[in-house]
Amino acid sequence: MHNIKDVDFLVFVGYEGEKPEPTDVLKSLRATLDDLPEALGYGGRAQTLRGQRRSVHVEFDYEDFHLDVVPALIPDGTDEPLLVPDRQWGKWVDSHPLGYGKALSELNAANHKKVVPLIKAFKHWRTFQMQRNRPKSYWLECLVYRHVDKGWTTTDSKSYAELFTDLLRSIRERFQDKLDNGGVPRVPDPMLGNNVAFNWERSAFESFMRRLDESIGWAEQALGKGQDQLDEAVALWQKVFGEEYFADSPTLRKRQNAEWLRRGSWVASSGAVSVHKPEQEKGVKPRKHGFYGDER
Amino acid sequence: MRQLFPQFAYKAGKKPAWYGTLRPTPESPEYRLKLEYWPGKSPKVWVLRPEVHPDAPHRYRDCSLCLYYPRYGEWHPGMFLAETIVPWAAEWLFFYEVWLDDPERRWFGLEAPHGEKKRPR
Repeated sequence: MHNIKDVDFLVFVGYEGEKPEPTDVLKSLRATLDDLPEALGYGGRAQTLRGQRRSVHVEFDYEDFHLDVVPALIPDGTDEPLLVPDRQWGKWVDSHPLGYGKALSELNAANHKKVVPLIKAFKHWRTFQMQRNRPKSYWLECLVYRHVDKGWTTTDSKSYAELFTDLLRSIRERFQDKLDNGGVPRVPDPMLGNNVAFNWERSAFESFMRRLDESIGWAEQALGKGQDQLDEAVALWQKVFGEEYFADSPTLRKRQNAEWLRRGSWVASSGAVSVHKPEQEKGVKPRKHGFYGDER
Repeated sequence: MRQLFPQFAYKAGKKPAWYGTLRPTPESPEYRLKLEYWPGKSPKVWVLRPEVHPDAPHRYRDCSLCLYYPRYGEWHPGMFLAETIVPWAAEWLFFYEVWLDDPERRWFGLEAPHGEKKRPR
């Protein structure tokens, strides 16, 4: 069971003729949603948060989940971009969450379902590494989408550790020019092409690049460790992701072993799989092969 | 086979096959496998017990394990089953156990690209 803490909803708003004012729609939605926690048997309230431009945020007392409800107009059907309000600008802006969801699913399927876990890992990395001025989750999604879609980060034959490290390297490589020569990079929306990180401040971008650089160093060191240096490798990955996310456990150690076994393994007579040649029993080093995909 | 995996035994009959056990890690259960091979066809391996999770990846519709991509020529009839198919099955079991423990259901073993006919250079 997934532990869902952050649920985003779209509420389609009907209108005839003139589009309603976004501010009016948000106020009306907030007033309506204020009763939602009580109606569902919880305490809590709805609020429009500063910096949360498109949605009404609903919190439930004593619960560890919340809702973000985004009102949307559908001028041309759900296959086309929707219009969502931006409180700061007081106008409707294009958004294509349904198209993006479909495109992301397709990209994920074409990449051994590694893109969604990569996005999750990247978001966690951001949350752990940056306490202030964090880049928004959607910017990170757009970055991962772009780097995989363009082939700058490839998923074939790569472990998750290698893939994550490659992603960080790829972003650093493409952002380095901006870091050296001033300004902040564009982060295009995969569907609409607009710069989703239009308000990224230079200092926040510099901080992001510093964290990126440090983490690449730790990740590269961890990748270079052998199976007899498991403790060091675990400690390095904990610097990247934190001890809570990368908690040391038999499961984690087995996963780390799995990363090493991709490079080649020995199989003992008992069936024991290891990177080392078995000492107590006969063994075979099987030739390299790839597990073939889901035909079921 | 008897030299490398002496616990595997060949049972003749209408549906002849190799039967044996593998334990990919000291903490793993002992998996019982069936290996069927007919000349001219690809070898097939099933896990007989313990029961494999119904969502486990890299299996064919008949629940046999997808151990290699046939189009890449990773296996051909000139190869010994004991040096290829059986150890690959042990690796499958190892990565399957990691997959089972992973909340995000990731497969850590090398995967053949889906839908491609040739190995990328």
